[in-house]
Parts: sequence; structure tokens; C-alpha cells
Amino acid sequence: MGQDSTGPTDGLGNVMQMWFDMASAAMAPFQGHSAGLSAPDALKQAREIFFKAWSDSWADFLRSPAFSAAQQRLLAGSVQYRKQVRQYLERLHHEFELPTCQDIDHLVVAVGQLDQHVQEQFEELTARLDEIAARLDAPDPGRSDAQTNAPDPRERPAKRRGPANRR
Amino acid sequence: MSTNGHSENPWLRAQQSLLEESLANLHRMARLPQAWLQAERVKKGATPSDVVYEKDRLRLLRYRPAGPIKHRTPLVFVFALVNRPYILDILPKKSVVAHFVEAGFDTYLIDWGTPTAADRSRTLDTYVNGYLPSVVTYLRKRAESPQVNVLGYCMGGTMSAMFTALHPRLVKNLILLAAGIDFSTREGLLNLWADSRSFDVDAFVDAYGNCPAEFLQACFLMLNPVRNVVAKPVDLLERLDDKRRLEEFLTMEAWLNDNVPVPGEVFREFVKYLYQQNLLVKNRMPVGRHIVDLRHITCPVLNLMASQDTLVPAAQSEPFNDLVGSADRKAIKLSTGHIGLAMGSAAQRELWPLAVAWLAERS
Repeated sequence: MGQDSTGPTDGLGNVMQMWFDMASAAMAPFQGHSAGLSAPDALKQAREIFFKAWSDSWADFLRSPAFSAAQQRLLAGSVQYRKQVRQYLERLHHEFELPTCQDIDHLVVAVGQLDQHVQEQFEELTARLDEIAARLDAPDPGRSDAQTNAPDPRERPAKRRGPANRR
Repeated sequence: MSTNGHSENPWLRAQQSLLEESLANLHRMARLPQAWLQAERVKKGATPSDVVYEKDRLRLLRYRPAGPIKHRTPLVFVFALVNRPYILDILPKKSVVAHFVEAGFDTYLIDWGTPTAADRSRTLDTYVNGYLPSVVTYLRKRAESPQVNVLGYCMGGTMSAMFTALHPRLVKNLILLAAGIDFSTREGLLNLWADSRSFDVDAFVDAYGNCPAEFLQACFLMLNPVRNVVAKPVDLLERLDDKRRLEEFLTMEAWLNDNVPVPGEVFREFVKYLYQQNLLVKNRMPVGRHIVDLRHITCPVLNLMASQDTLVPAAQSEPFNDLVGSADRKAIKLSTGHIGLAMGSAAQRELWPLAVAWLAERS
């Protein structure tokens, strides 16, 4: 199992070999039947081996370029169909003057933009408030010089929080 | 001729056992209507929980503690947008959530809800920088904790990694469970199918709006069609006379078929930026106005992955620990599949006790 693509002949050869190996492995439990394995257990074992081989075979296919191309075509077709249905429904809605998905999208975008705008304003205000709070809490270098000369420390809090220091 | 004589003959013995098996199969078939009724009564969620926070379609579930809360930092599970989150708490003996609840964690789970056509313009930014921060802010207030522990599963893990990189101060510990990080690997079929040469995601989203749940379901089925379409019904037949195994099977199937559509723009971003351009590992992943740089993740990281995962191959999760800035990082790889990592017996027995202990040490 791998990503490398192989030629169709090699691919077929690999698949044949895998199923041949699976058939040999699936027969093994029946050969061991006389050694004490009950018939239902032997069948279950053979079934497991068969499922595993089948699974491996699918896994190879699901990784192949052929599947990838089929997936691409299927999705493109489905998208195209969906678009056509949507266009038709939009025309119908338009005729009956009903809101379409597009109208709702526009509304959602408008509300989203408004929400974004308000959030940005809030963030800006919060940042400014934080900046002001930080300035208020930080010791003023000019004042600290003054403090060394200040004889009365009781004046400091009132001065630091005074309106003159707020800008 | 005695019965013993029959059983000594290998061919007669084989015939006898085949006949017995056929009769057993008939008995099992007779139970099918009962199984149908049982399927309709499948429970979704094992651990009692309450909705504690809601925003738009999002619901935050809080699991009722089994005893006193031993760890102050709350734990929040972030699930993918493609399925319903109850897989993490699906059955009493197979619940990831229960491990953490029983260990004394204040445990929460985000249920993103089912998006409608009106949600097609939601982007990864809506989730990573909108809903997740809202939930975390709520949890920080509620638990009076400066940070939260985050556990992200699958696509939820990828979103959790983005969230932690963009809001590193909010996350105390990060656990990723089968999370896609490096999308360059071609081990997984989804990586091949989403290749830009074969899948025009722009045309798809422009035409469909949201990515339909049926499309996702078909993709998941095609990952192993023989197993999913042929072998499973055979498995079901064999489990019909075992009530417990049948319940497990039906619960699992109910979850697997409970896909939800993915908001169109999220799907476009996920396919284009991750599957096609692999921007997350290049530290160039755009989420709204921000760029995710995984090096900004500095909290302890536990990266859990499954070596047989076909949906998110281990190679897709493994590089994460080398891309983050954390000094405390650990990876555990378990020999199981994508779902087995959450609810498999080996995971329940070995992995989750380890993960709980890892988180308890750091909470």
C-alpha cells in the first residue's frame, strides 16, 4: 500500500497477488480443522482474513489517482448542481419578495461588522484606561525628587492623585 | 451408532457445530426487534451534569462532583465541531469524564450545539477568541482560579492548542487527545482527500454554506468501508445475545451517526490553512486578526495519541511537543484507534489513570 502510482498491469498484478495470498490464508483455518478448531471458528477466522484482504484492497483504491479523479468529478458535479438549485431558488424567492440566503448573509456581515467595530472601540477604550491607570499608579520621577525634599509625607497621596497630574 | 461415535468423526463434528451455530444465529435474529427497541433507548451521557453557562448555541456542562473538589483549577473539555461531545462520557465504565470527576477535579465540558445555516459565517476566531475566552472567563470567576486546565479532543485539541498559544496566561495545563497539528503527513486518507489538487474547498463552501453532516459522515465511513459497511452488521449479529456488548455497540453507533454540520467558514479555514497549507506548524496560522505561534505555549503539555488512528494519525499529533515552548511536556502513544483512545478498554485501564495522575500533580 503506498502513494506511488503503478501502471495498470502492475496494479492488476498486485491485486491478483493480494487476493491469491488472501485465499491461501483463508484456507489455513480449514486445514487446521482436524487439530481441534471448530467449524464455526474456522469460518470466522476465514471471514476475518477475507475482510482484511478486502479492506486492504479498498485502502489501495482509496489512495489511488483514479479515486482522486473520481472524487474531484463527483464533488464538482455536486457543487454545480447545488449552485443551480440555489440560483433557481433565489429567483423564486426574488419573485415572491422573500429574503434569500444572500440577503441573510448581507445582514450577518453587517451585524458582524458592527460587532467588530464595537469590540474594537471597547479594546481601544480598555487600552487607554489601562494606560491612564498605569500612569496614575507609577511614581512620578519629578515628584520623587520633590519627595526627597518634601518635609511632610502626608501631602504625597493627595498630590499624586490630584487632577493636575492627570492629563 | 453412539453420539460419541459422531463426535469422534471430524466431518460429523463439523456438521454438528455448524448446525449449532446456525441455530444460535436464528436465535440471534429473533432478538433483532428487541435490539431495535434498545437502540431507541440509548442514553447519551453517563455522569450526572448540569448546564451552568450558555452563550448562543454553546452550553457548558458541569459534572456533579463525586466527592469534595480536591483541585482548585477547573478542568474544561473542548470537543470537536464535527460530532457530539458525549463520547467523552458515553457509558459508566467507559467515561473519560468520570476518571477526572472521581479524582476530585471540578470538571466541565463544552457542548458547541448544532449550527444552522445562519452560523455559516462563524470562523475559527469566533470559537478560539470568542467562545473559549468567554467560557474560561466564566470558569475563572466561578472557581476563583486565575487559570484553567484544558483538555481538547480531535479538532477540539487543535483549537485548544490555538487558544493556549493566543491566551497563554489563561491555561495552567494543556492535554491534547488525538489532536491534528502537523497536517503534512499523508498517512491518513483525509489528508490525501483534502489535497488542494483534488478538493476545491472554496467552491464547496460557497455552494453548501455549512459543511453538511452527511458529507462528513460519508467521509468517515469511507475511511474503512469494509469495516464500517460490511463487518459491522456481522458484528452486530454476533452481539445480539449479549446484552452488555449489544448496548455498547448501539451506543457507539448512535454516537457515530450523530454528526453535526460544521460552520462553513470554519471548515474552509480548517481545510485550507491546515490540511492544504499546514500553517499551524509554520507558526503562521491566522485566527482572526492574530497569528498562532505555538512557541507561546509554555504551560505543561500532555500529548495523547493513538498509533492505529486513521482519522488523526499519530504522525499528525506527534510533532506538537517539539513545537511548543514548554519545558514540561510528555507524550503517550497507545496502540488503539481514534475512538479507542477515549473509550477503549486499554485506554480506560492504562491511559486515563496516568493522565489523571499527571494533571493532579500539576493542579
